[in-house]
Amino acid sequence: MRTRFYSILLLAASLVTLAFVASSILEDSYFREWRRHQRNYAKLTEGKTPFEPGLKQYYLPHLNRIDRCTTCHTGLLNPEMGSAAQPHTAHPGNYLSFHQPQEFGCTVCHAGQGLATNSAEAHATNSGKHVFWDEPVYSKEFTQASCRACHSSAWAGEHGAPLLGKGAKLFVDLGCNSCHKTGGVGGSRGPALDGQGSQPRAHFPMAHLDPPHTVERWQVEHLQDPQKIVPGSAMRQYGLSGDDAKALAIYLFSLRDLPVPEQMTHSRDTLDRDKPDGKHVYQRNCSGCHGEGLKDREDKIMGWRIPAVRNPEMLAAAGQDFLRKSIEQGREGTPMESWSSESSGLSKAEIQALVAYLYSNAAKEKPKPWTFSGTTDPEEGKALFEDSCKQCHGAEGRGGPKGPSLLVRTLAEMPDSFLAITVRDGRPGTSMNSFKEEAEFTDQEIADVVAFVRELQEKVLSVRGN
Amino acid sequence: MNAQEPPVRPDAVNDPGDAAGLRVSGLQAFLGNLKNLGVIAKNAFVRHGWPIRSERDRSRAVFQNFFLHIHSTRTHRWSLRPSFTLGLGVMAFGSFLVLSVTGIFLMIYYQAGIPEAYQTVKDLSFVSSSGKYVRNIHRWAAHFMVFAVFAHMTRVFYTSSYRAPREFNWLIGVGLLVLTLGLSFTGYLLPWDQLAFWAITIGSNIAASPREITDALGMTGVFDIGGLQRELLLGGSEVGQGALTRFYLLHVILLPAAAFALLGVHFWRIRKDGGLSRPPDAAFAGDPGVTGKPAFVPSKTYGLMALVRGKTPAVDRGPEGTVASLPHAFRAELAAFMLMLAIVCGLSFFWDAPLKELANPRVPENPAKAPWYFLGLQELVSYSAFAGGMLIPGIVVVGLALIPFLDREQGVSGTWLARGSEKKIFWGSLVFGLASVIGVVAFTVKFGWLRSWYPGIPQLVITVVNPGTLIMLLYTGFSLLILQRTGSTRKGAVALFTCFLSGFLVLTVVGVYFRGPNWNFYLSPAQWPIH
Repeated sequence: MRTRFYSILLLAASLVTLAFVASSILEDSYFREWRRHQRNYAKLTEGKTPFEPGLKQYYLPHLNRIDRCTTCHTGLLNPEMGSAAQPHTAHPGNYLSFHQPQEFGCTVCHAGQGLATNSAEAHATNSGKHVFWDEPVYSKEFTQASCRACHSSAWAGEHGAPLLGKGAKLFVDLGCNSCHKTGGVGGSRGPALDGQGSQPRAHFPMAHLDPPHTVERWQVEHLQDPQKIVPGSAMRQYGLSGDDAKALAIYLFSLRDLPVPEQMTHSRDTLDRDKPDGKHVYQRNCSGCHGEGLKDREDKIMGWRIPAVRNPEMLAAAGQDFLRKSIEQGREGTPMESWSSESSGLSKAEIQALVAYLYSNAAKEKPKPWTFSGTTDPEEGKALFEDSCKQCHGAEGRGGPKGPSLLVRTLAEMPDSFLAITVRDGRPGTSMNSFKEEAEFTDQEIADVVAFVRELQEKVLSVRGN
Repeated sequence: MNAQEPPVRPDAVNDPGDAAGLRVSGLQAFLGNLKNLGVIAKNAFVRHGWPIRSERDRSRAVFQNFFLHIHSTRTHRWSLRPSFTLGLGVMAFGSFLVLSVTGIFLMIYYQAGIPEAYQTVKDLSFVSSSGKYVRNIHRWAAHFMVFAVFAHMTRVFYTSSYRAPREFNWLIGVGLLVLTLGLSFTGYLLPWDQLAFWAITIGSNIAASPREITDALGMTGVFDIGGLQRELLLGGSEVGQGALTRFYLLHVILLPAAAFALLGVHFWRIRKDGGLSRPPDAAFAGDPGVTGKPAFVPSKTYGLMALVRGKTPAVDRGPEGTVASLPHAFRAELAAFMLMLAIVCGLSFFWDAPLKELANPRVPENPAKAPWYFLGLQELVSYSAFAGGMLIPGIVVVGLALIPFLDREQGVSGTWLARGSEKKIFWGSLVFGLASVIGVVAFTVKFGWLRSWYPGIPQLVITVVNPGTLIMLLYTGFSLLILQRTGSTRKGAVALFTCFLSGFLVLTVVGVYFRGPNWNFYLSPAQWPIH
């Protein structure tokens, strides 16, 4: 029976239940963070500004979001709150007069969780407590990344988003597209960068970043020292200063999928695909690896010697057709990939402009023609090759850190004279010497070496030059 | 009060044909009725007399009330001992009621679509009045219900309350256990966050795990039972809107309806099988004030005897040792219910139900963990998806269901491990059960398993020989040994059930606390590699 036991248990359990339910209702109706902020706001304004307490929100179906930020950021539109402490501060600048919050809301620029009604989850910045939201609120300067959703970076750079403008320019100047695609254009050695700004935090390995583990810090530190953040990364260090890295990171953040309706946009970053500027095409898509292109350069990470593609003598010897083929087909067996519109998204016109730009640097006088017409002995050539060429061009001419590969289709299809002239005259500005002058090769010896290289090419590529 | 006397109806004076013969006008009658409306309505509502004064009134109040009459009018004192049931059945049912009510509240806001599902759950947490609290209660009550159902089953087993005539009710109970787990599993997907998406992805891969066998036999192309199961579950080949719709339907209609039906049968059978089990001498088992002297001897036999098969325990006995269900049994049940509610409300006040990032098929959770009660299973699945996810659980469920049919021993039921020697078997099995599962898991963590020694080994071998099946084999062998040595099916059953419990416990603890990214073993989450 135990009447007493059950009665006491019933009473106690009921009181505990009641206490918890009452506390939670009380907490919900009086002690929520935003209610405290609103009470403080009422004190701040001393009742002079009419303010109706309660949850506030901007309902933005055209942007597919609901922003409740003004529930706590009460003084947002109140000019008297310019110097008030957060969260009551008025919005700085005149941004809101062009971007009415009723139409734009808050998170479309600032990111963060508009649905949330408490500070930790709304900002979702992951400092201390982990909150589950993929787009933490941007720190002040990174907000500039959002401008590009509706404005071109050049315009935005001149109208209040200087870092975005600088970052966009750096992106082109450093030739990021040499390895990374954006909008379908670019190399594929590195990952495509479209949508980079909306990648969830889980996408970024934080193991080698000192806390706090934010994506903003990850981007900046990774740009400055890729191998520190991602050991084994194939990305080069570009010696970026902290400010440059931040500007570039802001540009990366601007690469995001943001479904902004067309009528809300102002101007867009566009490429002139029909009348392209060859220099710009080079800077954007080639300079990441080739730099200025005047000197060849050893790339430690690639383990490759990157040829000087704007070397005047080479250009003069090779001709435009060779350049176009090399760009369109790439160079098999080397890091140079195909840049045809199918592979890397460059249009015919862009390639044409690029070739013209490169060739404009060609030496004015043609090299002395190659006139040798005797018989050649590849065996002799082999001995000479082992002696003088292998150190740089590698065994069997496969190329390496010191010299380019000779087993390249475009090269194999060039006439013998191209190879012979290169050996004879060397390539000023690169480590390729003139073998006639430095090693006193005779024309017979040069022809023998060329014959041997032809055999190598034929063996590997089944292509025979003439 | 005489049994033939009709209950006094206070509104009788207003009857126009009243014996007093007073002529009243229609208006007066109307006003009189209006005045007595409360009393009239009460009498229409309460079928038994009011107020309740005597034992007989109490019995009538129970017997004539739709909601109460599932109870017998009198309850045995033994059944009211707190240490006998621990109130677990009531608490399990109570949490089911709480889940039903809070579930309906949640359904007011929730929309089972992508992406509405996630957004509406966010709205519940952020803007609906007390929405977060209601959701917390739903979450915690679900955890509590699973715990209470397991504990209830354990109680029923160790008090040997599954014995005849209660075998069928044990079977219903096993059905309810499966339904409870099903309800929990289907509810897991609904918030459509990362936690939900990846837990269900794992679940659906388990459904597809018979492919391990069909692949090995080279017949997946012809007879892909695993793929079929997963497609049935998900309504497609991956977790998407189809899966969400199906899970929602299962969670709010199909499974609750089935659970309500089975619960009805479960309760009805408790009543028909003679109430809660108790030893034959329970009436005299030391409750102060119980003399064993019948309160009254039945003066009338029932005319239903010809219709009722078997012996119903209330017949042929006086109500000795019993007390009126009202208020005693109801007070006890209400106390257990409120205890459950207090615990659930308290947990909900301090710990919020989790809600992670929006489900993203491109970003796998690592580790993706199922709810705690499935983590023992997930540990087994990490050895072999088919053996751990289907074979072993299948054998366990069938084995549980068969207990009362394979152990036909009659004996004392209704007390914990009735005979002294059962207690010895229990402790022995507990030690063996814990030692062998800890041993096998520790061995696997330290030295790996077949795949790490012979990388080319066929999957079929692993499906058959893996730590999970090894543990099962050890447990079965041990129980058969006990069965053989003692010559008692009950003792064999105690051994097996205890082994099962210790295995469940250890595997669950390992899954919850010691498994990290890539399901590797870590002593604490602090050692997990930073991602």
